[in-house]
Amino acid sequence: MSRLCASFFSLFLIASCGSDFADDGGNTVDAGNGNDDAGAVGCSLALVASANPAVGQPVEVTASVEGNSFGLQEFTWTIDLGGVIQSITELADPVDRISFTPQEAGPYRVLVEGTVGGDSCTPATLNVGVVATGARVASYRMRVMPAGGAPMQDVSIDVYGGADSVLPVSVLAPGDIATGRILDAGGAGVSAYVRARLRDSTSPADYEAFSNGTGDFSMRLPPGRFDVLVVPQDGSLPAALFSDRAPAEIGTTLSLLAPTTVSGRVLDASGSGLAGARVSLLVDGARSTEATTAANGSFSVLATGSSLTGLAVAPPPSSGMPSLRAEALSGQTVNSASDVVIRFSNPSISATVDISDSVGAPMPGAHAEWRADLPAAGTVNAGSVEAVAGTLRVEATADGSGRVQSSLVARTSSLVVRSTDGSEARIMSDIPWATAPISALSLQTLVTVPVATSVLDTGAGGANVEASPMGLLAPQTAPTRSTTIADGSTSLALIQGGSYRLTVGHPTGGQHAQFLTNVQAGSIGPIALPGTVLAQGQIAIGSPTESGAGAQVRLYCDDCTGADAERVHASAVADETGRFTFRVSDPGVDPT
Amino acid sequence: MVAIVFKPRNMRSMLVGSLMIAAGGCFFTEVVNEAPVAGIRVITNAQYIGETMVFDATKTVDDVKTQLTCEWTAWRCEGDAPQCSSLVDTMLGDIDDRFEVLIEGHERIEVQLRVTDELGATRLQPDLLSIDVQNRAPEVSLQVTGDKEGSTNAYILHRPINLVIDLDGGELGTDADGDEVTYTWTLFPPPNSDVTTRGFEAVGDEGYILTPDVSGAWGVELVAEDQFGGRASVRRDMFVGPDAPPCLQALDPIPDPFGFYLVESSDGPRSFSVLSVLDVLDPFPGPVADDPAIGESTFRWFLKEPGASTFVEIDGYTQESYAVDPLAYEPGDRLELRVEVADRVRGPERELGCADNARTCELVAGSMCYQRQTWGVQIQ
Repeated sequence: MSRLCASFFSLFLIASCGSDFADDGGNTVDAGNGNDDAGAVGCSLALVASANPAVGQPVEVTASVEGNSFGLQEFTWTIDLGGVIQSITELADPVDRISFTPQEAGPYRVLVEGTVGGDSCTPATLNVGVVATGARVASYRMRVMPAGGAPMQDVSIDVYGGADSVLPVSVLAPGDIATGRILDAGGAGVSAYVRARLRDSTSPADYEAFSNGTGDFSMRLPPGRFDVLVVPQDGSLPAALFSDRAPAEIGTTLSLLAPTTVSGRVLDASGSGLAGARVSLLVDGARSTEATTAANGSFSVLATGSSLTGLAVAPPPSSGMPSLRAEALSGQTVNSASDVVIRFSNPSISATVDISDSVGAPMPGAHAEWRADLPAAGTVNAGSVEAVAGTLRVEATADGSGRVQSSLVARTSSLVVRSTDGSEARIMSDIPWATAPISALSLQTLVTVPVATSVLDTGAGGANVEASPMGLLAPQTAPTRSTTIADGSTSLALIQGGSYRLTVGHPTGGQHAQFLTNVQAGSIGPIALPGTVLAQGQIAIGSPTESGAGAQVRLYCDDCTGADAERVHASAVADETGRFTFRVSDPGVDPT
Repeated sequence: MVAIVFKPRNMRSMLVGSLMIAAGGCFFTEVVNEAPVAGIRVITNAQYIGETMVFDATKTVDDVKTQLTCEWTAWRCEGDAPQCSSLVDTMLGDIDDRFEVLIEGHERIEVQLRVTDELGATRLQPDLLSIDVQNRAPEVSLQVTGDKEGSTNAYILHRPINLVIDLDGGELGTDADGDEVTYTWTLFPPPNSDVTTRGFEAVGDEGYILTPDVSGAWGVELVAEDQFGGRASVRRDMFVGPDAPPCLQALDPIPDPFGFYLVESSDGPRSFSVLSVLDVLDPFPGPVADDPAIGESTFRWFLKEPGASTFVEIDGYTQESYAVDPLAYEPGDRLELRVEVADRVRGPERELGCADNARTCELVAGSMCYQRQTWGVQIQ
């Protein structure tokens, strides 16, 4: 998704009243402010403040009259910070220009009321964000999902530390509505999942819709070019990819080509046909239909296109074969005459392990899972041989004597075993089963990990602490959660040797995240939570005059990857004027 | 009603003088300077405390055509007493000067005018202006605030309703005349309300907090009275209903009744999220400011794994978002992810009764307020 930078209308100034904004070329000012009658008078006020407001530096604010400006003009100013009225200096007569000198950082609200020729004008308010001296900056990716009038967009924002802050108004591009139709090769409408993915984007930017039974769909798209993936919902037709399309080219009839039948075989490591495997091919970047292999390993799928760019094979669970996945094959040509041969490599071997608990007693019912990521788990041959990576996951349950066995595991695998009640577990990584198998394994009691949290050197009671399993423990293991008591402490029971992502969230203390690898007994912390600040923002669509009322706003880490990139730091819903406020971790200030 | 009355003064002596002249025949007499005659003209009428009456004199008769001097006097009268003894104000001036009288109390006011010419002839004018000051009844208004359900506009059962006298800039306990005002509150609860379970507590002198114990139509009447018979009342009726269920308002992605969203292995885990929940007391996202009365909705998540026939709750998972990891599945797998929302109200009335395979569910049929939404997910 393209990163649409917020429009800056003077630094950190946002308008905050009514539904009408006035843009004088540098500032946002609102009008209305609840005075419904004022609009009929014919004049309204607008405000502009000087840029770069800072503590101890005078900030000039100028009011201008819009509409009927003939007559004696009088202005009344009110400036407050958190309800505390600030003193002002009049700079003109009539007083259409004033200055104030902020003594501390924070969002200052400037209200000007006025009359022209004795008639009241619509007043205006302006929020002036004064940044703390030495404020640190935290950058976020703010995902905005408008209630209407614009597509989802990401906006880069900076939150300053040390005080509540004011974000610039985010003006969203309204984009274009693409209304199209999906038809099959015979001209009939197709019910399908439609995904337009923005090309040349550094962040996810998928715009999705479902076409109905007649193939009609509609989606609002930002400017740009897209790859459009169409996945028919009933599975009887292959997916199709329409590459590099402008919105106008998406809002048209997208005709699916007549699919080609591609046949092949799935063979085990000995060359015998493997029955019951689920096979789908990636042809020209789009999935074929899915087929299950017959007794001799043969299959036939429908595909659109001719270039084999990937495949997925899920062998029957009882086979012990790894799942094969490839997303970037060389593009061998496939057609109705092809015989695509997919063959597993490296025959699996058997494994038997006697599981006991931490005091040596057999552990019947223990759950064992062998896992292995195999760079060369098989090959595909549609004219030339290519290696295919695979993932092995074999699950088994210990019998009444605590014995767990599988006839088919990878030659080098990791093993995770859990007791039935989850109180004991064991992780064994990269065991060379072919040469040094494990025949007996004692589980370990989960280690208790104390966690201490604080906010401003005071225990952060009520903080939510969560340890999300990673690596071998993910994704099957549920997160471990706890809440700190009044002194900010709690403890977590974690699997020894496991990897976790630890997150701490506190209503006023903010958020904290860190990774725990190879967990052992021992305390974590003290974790000093950063505290929180409020950030006020505003969403507009198309221009500052159009409120983004009802927009959903979520804040993500700006430069994170993986799970961190998905973690929501704050969320809010814009009110009828498009304004929103969220509480976010305080980036802090540099020591002077 | 304007309460200005002109009263003739010494009417009987005037009549006797006229009769004597008529009965006496011809006679000589010296030229006598007659006392001037003038009338009282009301320039600005007023009848309430705080208002100002303005008068001037209109010269009607003066035989010597000399400069006249007017002596104005205003008296305060106790009830219907014939003699008004309390001097309010007096003024000596020309015929063109205006006399102003500020009404300061409820007592009747009389205004009299004496006119004197330059030769010393003087006359207390026969017309006496009597002003009956009117009492302004108290004005009363009642402000009612409380948590209301947007869908029904009903106040929420068991939640406090603030009833505050709306002074509109005035002072509590006095009216526009400055009179002391007493307030009487009367509650009109539904018949099935119990005095021991409902709350109706005074908060200072200016209001009450009502905590309804049953749903239905509630009423509150406020009567304000002053000691001069002024009375005003206002009644506010309030419909009280139970806390409405929370509504899943916005989700990402938007669930489709039939469709399956694509989750590709190459993209990694994909989150399915509740963005907002509509609920008066337990909205989501929750309030950014501390408000002990406002909570936050809670969520339960369910998965229908590939090939499974029923949904299974994800034990202990209550976040607003759930990530589906495609690596936990095989390409081609289809699963369904379900979220259900709840607020602080628990009990059988909040149990969703929809079939397990229903992708959406609402406690109030046809309300379009869904407590359950389901995403179809296809792994690739």
